[in-house]
Amino acid sequence: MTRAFTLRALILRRQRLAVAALVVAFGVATVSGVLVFTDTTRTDFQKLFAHSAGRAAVVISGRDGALVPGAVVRRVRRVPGVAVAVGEVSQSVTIVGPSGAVVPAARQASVAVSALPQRLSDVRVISGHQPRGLDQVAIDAQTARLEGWIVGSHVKLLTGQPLRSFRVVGIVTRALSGQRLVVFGLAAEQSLYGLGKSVDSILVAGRRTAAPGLIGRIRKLLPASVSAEPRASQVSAQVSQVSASFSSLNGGLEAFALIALLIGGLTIFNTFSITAAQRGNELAVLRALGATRGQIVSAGLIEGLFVGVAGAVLGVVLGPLFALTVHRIFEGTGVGLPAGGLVLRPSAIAIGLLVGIGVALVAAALPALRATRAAPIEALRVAAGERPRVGRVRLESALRGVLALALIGNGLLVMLLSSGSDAERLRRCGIGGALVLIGMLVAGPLVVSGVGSLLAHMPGARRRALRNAVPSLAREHLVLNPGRTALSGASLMIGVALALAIGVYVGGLRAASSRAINQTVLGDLAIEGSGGAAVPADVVRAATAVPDVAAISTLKTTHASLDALASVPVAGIDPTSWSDVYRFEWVQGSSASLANLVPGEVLVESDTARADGITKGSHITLTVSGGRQAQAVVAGVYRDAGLLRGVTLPLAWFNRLFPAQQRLQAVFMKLSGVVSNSVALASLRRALAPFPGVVARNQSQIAGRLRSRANGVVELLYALLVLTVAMSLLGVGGALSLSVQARSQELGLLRAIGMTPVQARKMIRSESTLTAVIAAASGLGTGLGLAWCVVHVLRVEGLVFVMPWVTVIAVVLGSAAVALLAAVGPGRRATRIDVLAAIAHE
Amino acid sequence: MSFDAEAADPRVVIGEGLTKRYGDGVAAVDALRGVSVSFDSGTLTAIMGPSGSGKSTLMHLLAGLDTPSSGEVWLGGTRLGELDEGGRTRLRRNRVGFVFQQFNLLPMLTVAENIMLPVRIAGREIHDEWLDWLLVAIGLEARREARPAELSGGEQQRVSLARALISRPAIVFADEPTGNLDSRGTEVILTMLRRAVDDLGQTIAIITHDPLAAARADRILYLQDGLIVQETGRMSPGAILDTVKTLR
Repeated sequence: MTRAFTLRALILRRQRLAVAALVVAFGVATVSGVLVFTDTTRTDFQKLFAHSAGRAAVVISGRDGALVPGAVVRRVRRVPGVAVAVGEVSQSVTIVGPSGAVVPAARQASVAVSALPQRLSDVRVISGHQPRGLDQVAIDAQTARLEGWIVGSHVKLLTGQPLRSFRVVGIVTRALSGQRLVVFGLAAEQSLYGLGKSVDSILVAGRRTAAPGLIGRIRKLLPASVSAEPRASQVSAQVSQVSASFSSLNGGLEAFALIALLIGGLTIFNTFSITAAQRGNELAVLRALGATRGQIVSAGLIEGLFVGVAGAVLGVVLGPLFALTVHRIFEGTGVGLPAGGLVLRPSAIAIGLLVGIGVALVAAALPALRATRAAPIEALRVAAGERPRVGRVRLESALRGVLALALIGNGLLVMLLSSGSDAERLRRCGIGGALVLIGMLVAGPLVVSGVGSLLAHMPGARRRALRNAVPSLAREHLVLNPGRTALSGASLMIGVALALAIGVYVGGLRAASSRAINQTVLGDLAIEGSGGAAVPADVVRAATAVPDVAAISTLKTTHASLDALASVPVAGIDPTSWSDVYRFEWVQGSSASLANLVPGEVLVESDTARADGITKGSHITLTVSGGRQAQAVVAGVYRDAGLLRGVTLPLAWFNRLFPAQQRLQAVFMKLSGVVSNSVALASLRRALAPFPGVVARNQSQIAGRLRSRANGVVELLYALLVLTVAMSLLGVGGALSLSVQARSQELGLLRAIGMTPVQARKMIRSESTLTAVIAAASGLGTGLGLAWCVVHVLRVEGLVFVMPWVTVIAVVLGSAAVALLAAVGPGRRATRIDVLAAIAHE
Repeated sequence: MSFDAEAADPRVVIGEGLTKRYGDGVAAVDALRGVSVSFDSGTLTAIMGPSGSGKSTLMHLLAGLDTPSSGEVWLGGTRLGELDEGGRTRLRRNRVGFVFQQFNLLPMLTVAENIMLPVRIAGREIHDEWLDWLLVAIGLEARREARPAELSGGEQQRVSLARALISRPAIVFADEPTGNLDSRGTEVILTMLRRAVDDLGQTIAIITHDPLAAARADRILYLQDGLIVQETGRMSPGAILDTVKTLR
């Protein structure tokens, strides 16, 4: 009986249920969208590394990026069970188009790789053949199409050698990473890049029968600097290494998924809370007609299931679209996320469905359970709008207040008392921040009541309320059910709070790094490779010819492993000329430490120093190319946000340790100021004409580039959060429109006794605005508080609290604007309420 | 028909040849089929009739809540047909009071605030003495700050009556005002409606099924199938019941 009734009721209320289902869909779309995005990003990286290892069974590579001596290849080939072992080289390359302009890098710097036998490679030859000999190359299909190259064309490439022409003999598939690809023969690439017989890695395929023990036999004959890993574990090691370097991104995405879950759950729960009054009435009627508790609860569950399934299915469909949008945003900001289609893992879909249906079921079952607890007649009376007794309300408020204070206090303590490493402190900030936010959610109804009575007791409020009923009616309606109002605004509050906290964090980082960059980089002009590529050493000669150059200093960079740490950046500088273009911000040491820097001594950046427990005078070990170990003494510790991270060596020693590193990372120039900066920049650009792929920048461009390097990922997090705020405002609109539907009788009565359609619309608008204002204000306060705590905890990083005025203003204006927008639909519906239907008593 | 000598004419509300048809073609339903009626100032009129006879439709048309398919309504000298929706709304809030059977009060407002609501919506001055007088008259002056949920059904209906009177309307329409009340609550409300007519000179029309309620009226209109089939003066409940029976 009840089932038939429920189904019929569902059909009768299809409009309201459609809105509820849409809100559910929104929550589910957010959750599953973030999950899909996270999965996609991870899988992209995994593919990227899987590709770099080809289809080999075993990958042999130098520890920490060191080269593998060529002799190892021959030795490995003789190991029993090895079918194929091929050395592989991968270097950056600059491709110059027929017009003479550099072909812009796609996603990451274009890469030159050595040809591999088909069974070890994921790159397929589409037409032509693999390159043989010194002047042959193969090129990826996309780049070839872009530039109109076919087999037989000639391309100009900047390798380790000056620009020269090569003949295209093959077209290959593009790298999974989306980078532009140039394929050389192995010997050709080794000689072009001055590698001798060394290779970056060796790919080994075993005979089918010889798989077990193969890797052990290979390992036995490898030098200490070289390691062999099964391809699978090598991929996962690389993924985890990159995951670590992208940990803030991954962590951010996970946090975002959690936030989305929270916001989605709140929105869904809110939907049902708002419709609960109406449904409560029906349930009371059913109870009075003799329905059992079980029947009542199952009626509620059927409705919840219906809304949950419909909404969740729609949400799961919309989720990937959301993910796609986020992906586009990332691409738009220029951060090199790997290419590849969306990854739709069953787990992302399952979690989205579970969340949507689960929360809808819980939210629908609660009012039903409540209805069964009262006697039938009492249920009818409660449904007719009677409120619980005042004493009970007070007790509830008191408990709520105590709980909220406990949560917020605990959260603040967890944040402020956090200690340990940076990551640990950030983690505890996150936990503390979450506690504070949950506390604010618990306190929400109290805040609404408080704001309501504050507005009611403001001087003149009573007079104004008498003169102009509409806004005060809106306020009174919101305060009548503070829990519902708080829930409607909760998602907005969380969004605003997080946006602000992140905004302050980003602003602090940016201020810290830009201060550091402005203080450290003194050079007026810089020469760099486009897309982060290296610069041929010859440019220095060309740059010297530019008039007005007072000083010139070069920078070389590579990676090495430092003591226990994995790969750290290593820079080589000339101790005498470097001080003309760069000012060290010393933590330990002084400019004398730089002037007297000799081979065997290094300077260490403070982050690295702290991570490795290094101070001035420490002895360190650098493991460099070929697995050689170099001992050094730390002559000073400095702070640098962008340019010199890791370890800095005197150039002469750098050249000895890293002989393969012929090319420069950058050239910095100081002008004497005789001609203007822009004139000098122009003449430098002319001087660099023979070097395609090399760009000249002035000081502000240098600073901007270094800054964006430091902040890219955090800014993306920020973009995600702005998206959250926008979506939570949609939630407010949905809640409002449901509330209008639920109150059609009340609105009908108001219209009957003389409220004009314009007034009705104004009342809804006031409700929307007030809800948004309360939520945004709570969010602003919470967010700034959280941000202050984060900055306070991380102040050793050099983080400073910068009041994010732009964000604050944007949040305030955005909240107001969307509150008005959110009220448009519901307001229109309020004016169209059928007065006669609303006041009819049959 | 002209209606400019308002002071001389005792009729505050006039309906002329009112019809109301819902729907089109074969599905069309005629709720009213030509009703002419007027209400004199300071009288209590009861409109009786079985369900579906057109009582509520007639009230909706006379109160400007709905527009007739044909015919005209004059309310306090204004021809409703000349007004748009906004004009009718303003007329309603200034010249018409309503008492409904249920869902009458706003739960978030106190007794006093509910009574003042029409005046507040209209943005007019509130005369505190008038409010106080009404609160005393409905016997709820001690509960002026109470919320509707704290009142009995009868008390809530008394608040509705005070709200209907606050703007000193030309006419109060009470649609089954006693439909949800017990006998004591019914008695109290009927007495108050009568007093509003006798003491304040208020014009009131009540729509009711209840012969006891109709017996308080100065005049009783009987509706059946969209037409006024009989009109009588004051009658006893028993006589009303008999009249209703003869009509069936």
